[in-house]
Amino acid sequence: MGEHMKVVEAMMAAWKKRDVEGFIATLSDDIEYHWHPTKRPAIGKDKMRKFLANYEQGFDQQEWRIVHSAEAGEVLFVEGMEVLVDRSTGVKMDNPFVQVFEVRDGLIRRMRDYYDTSQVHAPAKPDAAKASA
Amino acid sequence: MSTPIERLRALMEVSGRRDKAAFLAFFDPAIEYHYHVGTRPLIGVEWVDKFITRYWANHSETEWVLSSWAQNETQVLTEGREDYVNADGVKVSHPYMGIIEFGPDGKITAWRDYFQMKDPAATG
Repeated sequence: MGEHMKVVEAMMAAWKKRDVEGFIATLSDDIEYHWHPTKRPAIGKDKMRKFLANYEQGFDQQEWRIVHSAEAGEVLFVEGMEVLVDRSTGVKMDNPFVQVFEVRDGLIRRMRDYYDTSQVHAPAKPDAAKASA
Repeated sequence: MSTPIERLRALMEVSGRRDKAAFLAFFDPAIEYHYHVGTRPLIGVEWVDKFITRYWANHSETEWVLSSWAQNETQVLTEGREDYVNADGVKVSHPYMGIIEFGPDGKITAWRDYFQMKDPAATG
């Protein structure tokens, strides 16, 4: 296993325990996360905490696994599958995805996700969820 | 034998020239081509032939840009964008991520492209 993959596996292990600060500890202060193909990225650890809170509110991620990977320099590519349950509807779905990570000094500084949002809708913002409740 | 990225760059070169015979020669006859993960794949080089024939007919000024990549022994994982003018004359810049797998003989046995099918160039 490459060094970058060890960092990503630590991030995944933290999330599987819903250890938010453990997840955040794998990120650099200037983390830039392109979580959605058509939205602005989340920048910085505070935005990442908000993102994770929104995500957890919207979805129960029951599986998150990587099936293929390759590293080159600071870049790590992974292809994988997550299984999600939309908490608002109870619908379970498979979301095949790829992620590109840039890792420097043992910390993730860039993450970009590629998937089709027609299959997985973005988690609702907490305020929007309250408004619709 | 050449590496996955070398083979991909060679494929991109013939694709840029729209040399269909040379393009199709890169594929294993039983290729499984997911031109969009989430849509049913095309199985077999005959379907790749049909796909690329239609694609080239409906897309002009195509430019395939590779922004980053990494490879292992049998796969190259790529990130990039495709710029083109579609059949309606609209310019599109289409970010994507693609994974190409090669068999022992160097032919492409699987290809999976991940992107936003609807309104791919939209920004938040």
